[in-house]
Amino acid sequence: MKFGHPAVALVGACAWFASAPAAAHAFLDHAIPAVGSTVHESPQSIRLWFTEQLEPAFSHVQVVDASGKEIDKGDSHVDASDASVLAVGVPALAPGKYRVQWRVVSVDTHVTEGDFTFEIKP
Amino acid sequence: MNPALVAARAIHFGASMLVFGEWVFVAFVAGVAWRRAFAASTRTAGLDRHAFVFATAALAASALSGIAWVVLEAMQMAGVPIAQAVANGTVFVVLEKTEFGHLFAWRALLWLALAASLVALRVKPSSRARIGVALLGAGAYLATLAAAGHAAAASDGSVRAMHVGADALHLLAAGGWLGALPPLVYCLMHAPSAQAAARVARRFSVLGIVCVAILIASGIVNSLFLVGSFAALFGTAYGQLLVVKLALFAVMLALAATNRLRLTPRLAADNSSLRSLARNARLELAGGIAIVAIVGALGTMVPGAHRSPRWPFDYALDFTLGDLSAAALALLIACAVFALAAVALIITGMRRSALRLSIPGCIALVVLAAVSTSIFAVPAFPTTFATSPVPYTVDTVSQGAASFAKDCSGCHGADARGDGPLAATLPKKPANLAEHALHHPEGNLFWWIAHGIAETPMPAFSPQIGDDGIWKIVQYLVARASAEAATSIGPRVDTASMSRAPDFGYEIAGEGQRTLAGDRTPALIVLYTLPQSDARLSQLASDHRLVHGKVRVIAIPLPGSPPLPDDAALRAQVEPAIPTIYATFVRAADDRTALHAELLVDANGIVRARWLGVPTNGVDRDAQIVAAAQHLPAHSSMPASMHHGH
Ligand code: HEC
Repeated sequence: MKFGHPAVALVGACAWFASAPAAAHAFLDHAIPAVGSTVHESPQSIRLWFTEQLEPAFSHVQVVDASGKEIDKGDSHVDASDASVLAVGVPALAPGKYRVQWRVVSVDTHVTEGDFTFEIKP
Repeated sequence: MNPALVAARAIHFGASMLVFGEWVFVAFVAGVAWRRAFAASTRTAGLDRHAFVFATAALAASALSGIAWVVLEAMQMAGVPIAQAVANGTVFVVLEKTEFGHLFAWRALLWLALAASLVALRVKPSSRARIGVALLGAGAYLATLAAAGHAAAASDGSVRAMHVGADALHLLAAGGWLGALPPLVYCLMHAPSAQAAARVARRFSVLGIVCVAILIASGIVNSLFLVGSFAALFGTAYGQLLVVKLALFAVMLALAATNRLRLTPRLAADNSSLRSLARNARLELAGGIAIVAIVGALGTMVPGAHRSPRWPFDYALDFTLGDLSAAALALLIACAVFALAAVALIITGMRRSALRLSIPGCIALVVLAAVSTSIFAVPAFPTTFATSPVPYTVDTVSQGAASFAKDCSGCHGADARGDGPLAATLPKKPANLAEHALHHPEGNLFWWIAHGIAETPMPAFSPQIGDDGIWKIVQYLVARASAEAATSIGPRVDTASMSRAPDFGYEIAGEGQRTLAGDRTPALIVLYTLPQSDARLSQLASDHRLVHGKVRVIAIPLPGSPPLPDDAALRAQVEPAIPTIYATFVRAADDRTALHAELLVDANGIVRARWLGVPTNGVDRDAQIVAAAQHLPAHSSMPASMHHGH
């Protein structure tokens, strides 16, 4: 759909409003270890920060190694002091590539999921 | 999108609105005396019975659709089929453990109270107190739906309160208008006399005006939160559906205005307007049902503010008034004056039902709107407002830099200043991207690189380079221009700075990995060369004022310098690309790279202050840094790319 003239874009001569911090689906904001990063020491836990608060009963994360075997401590939980943080403990990890897989439900009921990798290289 | 969920939501919203609107009508439009006269003079069962039957049916529909909503939501949350969601108790986990479930448990109690109040009212229909209780209950039942929507998820408490509040008002106003239409139609069709009909019609239009005013105000607040920009309004599925909703709303408004301005004044004299009035009210109701269906869908979609929009027009509007010429400003004011005149013409035309006045008025308004908007028009592309799917990190910037060196530097120059070896041979000078890149929306840079610039030597690089590859080049250009912008930043906080520091990860022994952006606190990036920086680094390691001032210190060796020894307090492990990229941020105005530099980066990743060289004797640089850190803007959830731009 294309239109020739700007007039079609008129919604009153109000100012271009800035994007406000809005809610909706929980998207991954950032993680430690960072998405796609290489670290030198094994982390003790994997932490994921989301763009909004999560439902603890339906939000989970797991870590698998290169062969697809789950290697985390199975204690995936939403942080008690910050409901937008999801974390899981890991044992001392050997050098190699790992994949973090998450599926979360935001407090307004929307489901999002995704995954990313990180690598340990001493 | 799950059609069953959309339907359950739409029915639940609609039914809750009908219950509320019914009692709004009884309480505010048809007073006790009116209803008594009405009941005495008509052969039908009277409004009280109509309202009771209607509200009971709507309440039943809201219960069924509410249960369906909870079950469908449970299936979706747990990702299981319906049999499993019901059989293994997922529904109860939802009710017990989630905010959505808690809300619906409370609303079930409200539902019981509301049902009881309807029965009580049926027993004694003229009791003002009982009408009041039913109205209050129905209002609470409807308004609490605001907490089930997108509004409830805002992480910032005051934003959430404002958004949920606006949403609740929006629901009440919509319910007060739409839900009062069925009893209005009923009263108009069965009114004992034209005068009686005229009275309800007049009172209803007052209710309508109040509701519409609240709907518009609260609707604007809601769309600011959920859509956020014209780009998202026209360029995302959510926004486009909202445009359809607004168009339907405009049609309903036109119908309501005709009723108010044209048909109602004539009622007493002319009985045929009664039928038109009732027909228009039915059409309004049909529009309302369509809107509620759209609302059912919108709540299940990703709001526009969270999607990368695809701009559908050849132009966009840039409302920076500062750039307007005096002539444009005068034209704008003239347009506003004429627009007022046109509106007056339209209203007069509607009152006198004289199309020869209102039609020219409408045409004039559209022309004036077009003229005044065209003043703000700038060319735009489908990707103009797109947000990069590739993050702004040292990694992506260095990959973009490699592509740039290979494909672009021949014309644009190794430093992107437009002075490549081929530049002199070209009919048109390549742009100095180190200067320009921050002054264009990133989406425009993407478009030009992907599709070239017609009638200039700038070639198209899509599809040889994939979309992600082009976005990486855009990120490189942003870093390159940020580095260029940094040359004019000194030790005083630069509030207008557009220089963005690429994100990166670093490890400090025993603390694990951290990232520049992830901590959402200010950072001092110290780019050092040993041994020149030795004294300054040990000063930083022992000075606790920065720690107390909540400024992280990240020490990075410049290319050519050995790193700090493993046991040094400020020792951070970083990837080799980081020194290379950051070395470009420490050039002096004469292009020479300093051997030591410090960058103060705010919580949003913007370079705000910069010191070149180690401090000279007697200068307390840490005091300057702590003082500067006091003036940095706090973290904002707006992406850094939106801190500037058009
Ligand atoms: C054959 C020479 C040539 C090559 C190769 C080339 N460009 Fe260009 N580019 C130009 C010229 C000439 C212009 C100026 C066009 C104009 O004046 O509108 C330009 C303009 C641009 C602009 C618009 C800047 C502005 O401010 O209007 C961008 C962005 C750009 N080039 C990026 C790139 C990138 C990135 C590459 C490599 C992937 C590249 N160019 C390769 C010649 C070239």
